Amino acid sequence: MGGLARRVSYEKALQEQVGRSIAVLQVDAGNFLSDDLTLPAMAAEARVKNEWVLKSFDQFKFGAANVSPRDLPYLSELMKKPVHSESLKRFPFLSRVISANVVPASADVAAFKPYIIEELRGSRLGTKPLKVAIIGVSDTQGTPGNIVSGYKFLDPIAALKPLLLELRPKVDLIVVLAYVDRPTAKLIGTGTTGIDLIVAAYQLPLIQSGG
Amino acid sequence: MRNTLQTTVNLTLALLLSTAWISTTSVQAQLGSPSGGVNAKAMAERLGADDGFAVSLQYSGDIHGSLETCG
Repeated sequence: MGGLARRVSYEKALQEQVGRSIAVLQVDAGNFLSDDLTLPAMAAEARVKNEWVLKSFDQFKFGAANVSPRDLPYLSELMKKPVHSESLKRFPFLSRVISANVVPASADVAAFKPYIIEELRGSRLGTKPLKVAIIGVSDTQGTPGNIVSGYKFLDPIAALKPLLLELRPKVDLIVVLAYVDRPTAKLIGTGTTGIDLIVAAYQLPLIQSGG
Repeated sequence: MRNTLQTTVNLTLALLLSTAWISTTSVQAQLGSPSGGVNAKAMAERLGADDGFAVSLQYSGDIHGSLETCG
């Protein structure tokens, strides 16, 4: 557990350094689960890894994780209507897996929450909590068509606009988790109003390609 | 509009770069003292002067089912 353990250790060290006076918000921008479910040799291992990621995110009190197309093969198994309630009991963090533009393509699967509102508290914030809305969006990362594992991908900007109008008066900060390439991240920033921060991920091309 | 774009891009890149940096260095080596507590000097070098910040947003992406160091 080097990666996540390191991250949690960093949070603990930071809090110790500042006398636990700050608020820490942990988020994931997408592709947090393995999609190696179609390979017989790897499927069992992938499922075990995914279960531990969901358990760990819950245990370490992550605020939210964004749905990407690569998360959907496993998530769609948990989100199927007949098992959804049981999945939520097994993995409470599932209720913090969000997307504003990845929506059910049929009635067979449950919808993700489009956003989460976190109330951050800490002595440096004073007595009033800081309200942070975390919204998720993603593209299909080149998957043909716009349906992946029973979920349909809507236009990210079109999905964001009404939510930003709704949330802006209610919160202090709006963070968008975006599993999109760099040009799309820029378009989201310039094509909307009300976002305070975009956290984007898209594997290596996000950094290596221009845009 | 241009400033908004630049700010967005800068913030995005800053976050990406900071994660890459954090993920390639050992927290224990960077922050830990021999006794296992926090090395205040190392933390100060990493964070810079404490300007009274109140919130730390920490993030990841593309861990792809791995809880280990290299994602």
